[in-house]
Amino acid sequence: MKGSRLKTATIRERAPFAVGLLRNYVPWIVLVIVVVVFSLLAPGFLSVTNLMSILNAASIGGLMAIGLTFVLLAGGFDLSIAAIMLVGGMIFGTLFINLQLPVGAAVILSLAAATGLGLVNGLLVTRVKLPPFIATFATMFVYTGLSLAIGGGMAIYFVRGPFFSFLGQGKLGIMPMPAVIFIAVAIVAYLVLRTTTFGRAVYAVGGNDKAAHMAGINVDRIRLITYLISGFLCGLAALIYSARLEVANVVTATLAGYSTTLLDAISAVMIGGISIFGGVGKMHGLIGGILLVFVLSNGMGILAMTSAYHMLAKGLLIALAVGLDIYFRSGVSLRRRLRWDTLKQ
Amino acid sequence: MSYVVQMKGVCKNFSDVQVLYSVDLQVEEGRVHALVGENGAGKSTLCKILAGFHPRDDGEIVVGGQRVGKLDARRAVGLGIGMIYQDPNLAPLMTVAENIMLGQKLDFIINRNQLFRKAEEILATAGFDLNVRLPVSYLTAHEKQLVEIAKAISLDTRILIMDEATAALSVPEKDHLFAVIRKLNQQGIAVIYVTHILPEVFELADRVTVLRNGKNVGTRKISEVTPEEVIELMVGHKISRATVEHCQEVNEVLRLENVSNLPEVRGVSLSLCKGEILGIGGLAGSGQRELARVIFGVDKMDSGEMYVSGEKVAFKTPSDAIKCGIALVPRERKKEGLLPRTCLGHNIVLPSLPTLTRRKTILDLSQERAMVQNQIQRLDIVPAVSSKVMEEFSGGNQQKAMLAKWLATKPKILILDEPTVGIDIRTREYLYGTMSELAKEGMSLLLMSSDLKEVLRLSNRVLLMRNGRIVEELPGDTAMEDEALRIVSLDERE
Repeated sequence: MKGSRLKTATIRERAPFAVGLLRNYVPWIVLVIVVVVFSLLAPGFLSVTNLMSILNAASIGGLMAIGLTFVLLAGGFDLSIAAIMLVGGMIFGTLFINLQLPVGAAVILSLAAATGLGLVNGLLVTRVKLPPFIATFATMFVYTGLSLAIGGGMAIYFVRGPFFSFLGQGKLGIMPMPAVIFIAVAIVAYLVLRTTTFGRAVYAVGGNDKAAHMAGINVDRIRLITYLISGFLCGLAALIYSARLEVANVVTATLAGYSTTLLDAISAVMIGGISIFGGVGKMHGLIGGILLVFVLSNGMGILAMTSAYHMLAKGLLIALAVGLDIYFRSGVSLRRRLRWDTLKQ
Repeated sequence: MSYVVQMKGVCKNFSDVQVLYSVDLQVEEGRVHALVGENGAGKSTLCKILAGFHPRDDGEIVVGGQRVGKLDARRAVGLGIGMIYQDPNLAPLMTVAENIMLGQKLDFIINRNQLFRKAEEILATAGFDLNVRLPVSYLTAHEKQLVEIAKAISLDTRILIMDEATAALSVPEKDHLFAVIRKLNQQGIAVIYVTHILPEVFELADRVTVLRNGKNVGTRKISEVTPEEVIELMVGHKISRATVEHCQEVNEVLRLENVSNLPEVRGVSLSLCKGEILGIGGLAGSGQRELARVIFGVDKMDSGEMYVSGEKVAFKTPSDAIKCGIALVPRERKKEGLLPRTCLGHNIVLPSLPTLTRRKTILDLSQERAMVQNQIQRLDIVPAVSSKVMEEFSGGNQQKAMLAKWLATKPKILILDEPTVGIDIRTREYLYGTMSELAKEGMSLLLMSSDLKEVLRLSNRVLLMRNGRIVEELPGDTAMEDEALRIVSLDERE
């Protein structure tokens, strides 16, 4: 008995390489395929300028998707992200343009306001005990209404200035500033989730809140913090949005992009393998998901495909990515599925 | 005697772990075939393959003399194979009748009265006394089983698989179930009976197959085998019983004075010494679980005082208790104990995370890895793969993981709530051995159990609980079992 035991008792940290690759990198594999297809079909797709503009476009939805990921991992949901972004933009515009506050103060106050809206979400979930989906569905309307009220239905136009040229047009090397911020936030989020007690607590709360509580974790506090993170990152996204468009506008520019922004963030999260039931999902998967969503938008834009195809592609992709994910996690390898046929005869 | 089911050389692999190695199984018509083995031996997997829930990787299945190729759940039902799980698979809000008729071909528009009448007929032929109009959620565990059996009968089941059928039953319910099974046998229905409990095998079965580490290590006629031989087959060697030595030290680490959390815990006082195993025995539902939760700070106490190492404490949350060196291994593995979809390693370190940090928040990953490997080896968790998702481990190994998780916090006081429920014999003996080792190393254990033999055997002292009160203290001696049983089962109304 001792002998047979010893064989199995060698400790392995990882599954075999190929299995691990397929399990953990489904969005990246699909991304590579999509990139290859576009680079063959769409002229100029692979140029540095275009790739940078993809990153640039991905930064706003990407920041929101990262915030949403924290909330989802802790077993919550946040439908109000795009609405928080609207409010953040309007508050920033009002403070900076209408009230002529210094840029630093306006930035800090609008970020604080966005975080505050996240706090409201968090309190509704942890104190009032509303189901997260319903709580943030309600605040989605409340916040959208709030942003309309702040602007009185009018757009706020920004005057070109150093802040905007820095955030909107500025570059670090060849990298546009929004992309730099997005990548920095992604790296921090990766490290927080992987190497901090808070990150582990987020996974634990989403994985089994009772067990997390029994393990000494303050479940409500962790949940609350994830909503704060989500609110803060929406505020950051709002600043980049305002700087890029030079307009903090609810009525014309933003409302059209509003649902797209929300759905892009949710699509990225789903394709990225973040479980909507909480506790499961990795940062690298999410980044793959974000890039995939925006590469698709960009490539189809170059090919001048209509939004009909665009939506078709995105929907199929979500089904494919989540389907593959479940398939690879089900524990039955492709080889064995194929061998199955020999049993049928 | 003809075989209704023959499985030959069945193999099964989950991800990269081989669960079944070329298993053979032959089941005779109208007989009870017991399937025994430790947790993780492959019993459930084998049954699920037969019921069509998992595809087999290799091997042959012959049902009623006919070779079966691809077997999915629908096909299995068509072949007359039915399976009844530990937790019944019924729709709780639907009525008994609707549940029974669920698998039937019905008219598109359902006539409720006709449905009730048909269900009543099925129940009447089976001899079950159930109200078909009642929602299933109102039924007891045993009644739910009867519904499942009625459903199986109505689907013309020839082979009925029952997994741990008596886990939630009282003694009279168990007797009734066995009578039902014998009646099924008379109608020619074969029963594959999966269990941990050997006396049941010898009471009920005609033949027994023992699985060990995914292999069939022997099929025997019940009349030709003794319980000791079956245990030897299951374990693979002769069992040496763990013995517990009585502690001498009188060094109080935990004292409760009149602790109450009504209505479950009523004025409990106790004192726990260093290196002592203090058993708290009693029938299920006597308040042991609630007492454990109060001590650990999960539930608040209404009144009373608690002292840890002489200092008065009042825990608001489990984290307060953990800081004072207390650990609780809860009864409900899946609900309260583990993160089912998280890997083994992250499960083990979860309560110890605050101690694995540099500058309070950043984790020391190499220290974490060392802790995980240490615990996996310490408790011999199989397979020893720290990245494997918790829910893919067998029940016994999940239990070990839960213990590992709490031992990693290096507690002074370890509370164990029913640590061996649903655990196979070898893991159970292993856990018993571990407990006495821990006590010898100076840890104090509070063992809550409704298995009186277990508490009496392991503990230095045993407190008996009844209706939330401590009613008696006994020395830890298995000879006291009759006396203990008499005390805990006294009806206070008499």
